[in-house]
Amino acid sequence: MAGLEKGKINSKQLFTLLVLTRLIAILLDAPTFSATSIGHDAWIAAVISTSMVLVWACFLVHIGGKFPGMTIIEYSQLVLGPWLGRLAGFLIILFFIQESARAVSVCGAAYVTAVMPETPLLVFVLMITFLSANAVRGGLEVLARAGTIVFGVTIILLTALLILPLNKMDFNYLRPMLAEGWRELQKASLLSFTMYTDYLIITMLLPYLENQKSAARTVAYATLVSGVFIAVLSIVVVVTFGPLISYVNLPAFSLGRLVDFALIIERLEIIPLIAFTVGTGVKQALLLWGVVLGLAQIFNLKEMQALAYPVGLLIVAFSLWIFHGALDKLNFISLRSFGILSILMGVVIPLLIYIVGWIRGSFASAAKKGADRD
Amino acid sequence: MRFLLKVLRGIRRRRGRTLKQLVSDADYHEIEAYIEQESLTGKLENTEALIKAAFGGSPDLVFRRMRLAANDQIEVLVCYIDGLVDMHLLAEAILGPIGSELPFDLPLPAAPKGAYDLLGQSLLHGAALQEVDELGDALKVLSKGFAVVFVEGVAQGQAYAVQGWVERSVEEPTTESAVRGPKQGFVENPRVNTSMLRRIIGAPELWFEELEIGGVTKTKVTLAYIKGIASNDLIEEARRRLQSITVDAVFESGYIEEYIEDAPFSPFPTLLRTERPDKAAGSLLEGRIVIITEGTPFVLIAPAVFASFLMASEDYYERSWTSSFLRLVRIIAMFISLTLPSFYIAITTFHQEMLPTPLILSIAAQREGVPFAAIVEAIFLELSFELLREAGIRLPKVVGPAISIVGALVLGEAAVQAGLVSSAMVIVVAFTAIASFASPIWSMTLSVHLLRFPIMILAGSLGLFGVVMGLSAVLIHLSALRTFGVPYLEPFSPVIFPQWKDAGIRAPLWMMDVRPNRKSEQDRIREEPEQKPRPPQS
Repeated sequence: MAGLEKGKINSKQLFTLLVLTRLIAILLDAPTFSATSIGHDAWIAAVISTSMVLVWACFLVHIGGKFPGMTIIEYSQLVLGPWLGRLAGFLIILFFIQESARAVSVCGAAYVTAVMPETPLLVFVLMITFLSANAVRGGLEVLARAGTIVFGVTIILLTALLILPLNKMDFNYLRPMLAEGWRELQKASLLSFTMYTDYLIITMLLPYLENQKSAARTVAYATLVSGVFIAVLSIVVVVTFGPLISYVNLPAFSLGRLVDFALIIERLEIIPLIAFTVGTGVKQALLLWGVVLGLAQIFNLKEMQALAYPVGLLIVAFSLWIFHGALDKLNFISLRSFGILSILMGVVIPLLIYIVGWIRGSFASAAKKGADRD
Repeated sequence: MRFLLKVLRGIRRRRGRTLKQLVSDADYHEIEAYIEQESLTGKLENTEALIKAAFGGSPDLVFRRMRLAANDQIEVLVCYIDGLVDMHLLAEAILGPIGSELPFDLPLPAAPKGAYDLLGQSLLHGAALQEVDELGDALKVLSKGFAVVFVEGVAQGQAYAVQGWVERSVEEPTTESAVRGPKQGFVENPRVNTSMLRRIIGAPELWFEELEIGGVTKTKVTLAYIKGIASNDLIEEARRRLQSITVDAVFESGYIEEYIEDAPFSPFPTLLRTERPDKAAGSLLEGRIVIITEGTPFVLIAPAVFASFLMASEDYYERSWTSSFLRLVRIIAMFISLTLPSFYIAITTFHQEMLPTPLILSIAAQREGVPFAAIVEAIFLELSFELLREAGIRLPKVVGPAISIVGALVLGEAAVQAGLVSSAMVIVVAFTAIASFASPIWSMTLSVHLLRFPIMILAGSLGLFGVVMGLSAVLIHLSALRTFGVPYLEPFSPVIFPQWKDAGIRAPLWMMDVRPNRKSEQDRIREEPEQKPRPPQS
């Protein structure tokens, strides 16, 4: 295992990568606005889903701690046996590929619809994927270092975006609370939760963390910080757009469109789009790294770097035909399609591994193996 | 090689050719091998012929045959290279004592060996004495400005350091001038340079290691560090990299740089160069190493992270607030220099809606008569600026004003009047040019100049998306760079908060109580904490 990826990341870098991964998910899709009817209560859904993600992420860290030094791909083989374990690992990899393709396709589509309508989607997707594959070839350390700078840029731009439309906000739009009832809120929260299944990448990252003891704390901080950002973003979108929110598709983007700053720069939509692009790049690179590492571990390869470009190309192709249009994308983000998929991948499979591992007593042997390796 | 030597020796024996003829036929390596093969015999005649042959009878080689005044049975040969030795020193320390009676009751030397020892021990008083046993050694020290003394019948020589040649005196550094701070810069003589470092750093822990690099030039390269502050790994790594260089010539520290840098194909420099002794000393105290090369005032500092290219030594002499502000200005300047033309191209070509209506109307009106796309216009102007800059450096000083008039009038004024370029673009390019010179390190300025063009092309083809992609590519590259094991983007990424005190900003000196932690068990305490000056408590 240690031969494939030689890099290590520290807890700050893990924090930045996770926050970016989660923030980009909400900047890309805002299902709580568009796909549900709870509208102005979106921030409550954000809070609830954040607590759900918190519990789930702690579970992922916990199961990772049971198998020290192993990624989910490896311990699924240990627990479920070589073939069933490989199958589970392969499903997770497919999910990462799909998530990566979806992220880059949504980002490219944002450019095509909003900024450069005559440029084909392929150009955007190809360039972003090429760069992230490039970063993956450099290894996890390069990815983490680039991610730190991107994190800084994204957070600054996002904060500016949340403050600048201040003159257009009307906080009365937040009332009345829970107008649609609990049931709608539950659905919305669950949908919001499924949006963050990319967090499953934690199970790939954990073995490469320098300070294993800080893992749970770091993941929890990352979840909370990104949760606060998402909740604030939800509030800002609601108070800015009021009754129009069900039409808000890319919330950050629409916010930027409203800004005019000191008569110098108007219509800053390009600013969130930039934050968005680099963030998507990092998220995609992280997922791509997970895919490449996972594939190398499934097939017992000696080197993973060589896979970065081919898998990247696969993602480019996938991202081009994953959606037939904006409507298709909207329909996909629902509990019945994406929700089931992500719960299956993110919750059922790890839970299955955990329970089977507990029954078969794999934890002890894994701990022994980890101790032997040290 | 050995075979060659045999052949050579065979030739000499068979045909009875003179040494000189033999040398003149051979190529460089054969001469080297030949010199190595020859040894000193103790016959002055022979020694002189050998040396003369090795130098090809060059006229600056001077031989002086004398008899010892104290005992005229003993013949002495003094040999030096004219121009490399100080004539007064030579006369006083070497020629004088040989030609005069023994000063006090020293035993009169009878045997050549006795005279030889007496010369070395008490008579001659050149500063440094070096025994030479081989012809090769003698030739080497001759080229370094030593005077070599041979005695008839002794197969050895004594080399005295009597160097003296014309060299530039210590002047104010021309490429890194400062308003406040020491005004002296390094010079070409490495000994002067090490002396300047010694004068700043009094502690004996300042250690120098000298290497000779360059098969032909035999250039002295000095590795300097402070033992106990620089980490041993770093010193070991630097030594290893320097020792692995085998090249025939080293003319400037740039040669060394190209052989020891981490990323030879990167547009970014991974070694810092400076002309300022105070900056080198500061780096030494931060646990870095300094490499001094003979023949150039530019010394190399390693490791050099990205942030160190934004620092000037003056930052530490002015007060913290102003220095921090200036650093911020430099960071912005570097960003402007890298991206401003690209942003202009992207916005005017693809994202006109970002500008307020009056501004975009004015720009559109200016661009109305311009026949080219913004990207063409920008590349044309940027290239002409690069031309002007290059011409300004290379051309004779007397024509300097002419080129600036041509540049300002023809490119600035007439091109706009003729409608070839828009005046807004001229402003953008001029502003970029000014910003690019705010960077304190010239090598980084050049890197930024180089990267500007691909980003401009990306901006012209894909708008801001292209700019972002270009910058991301640069970012990924920077993230992958390391300089002597240290990540290039440190302390920003990976984040090391304590070092932020001296990166983007410059915190007050009394706050920086710990040295940058370059992975070392070494001495990290710079000062006692809690030294903030306070007014007296009344």
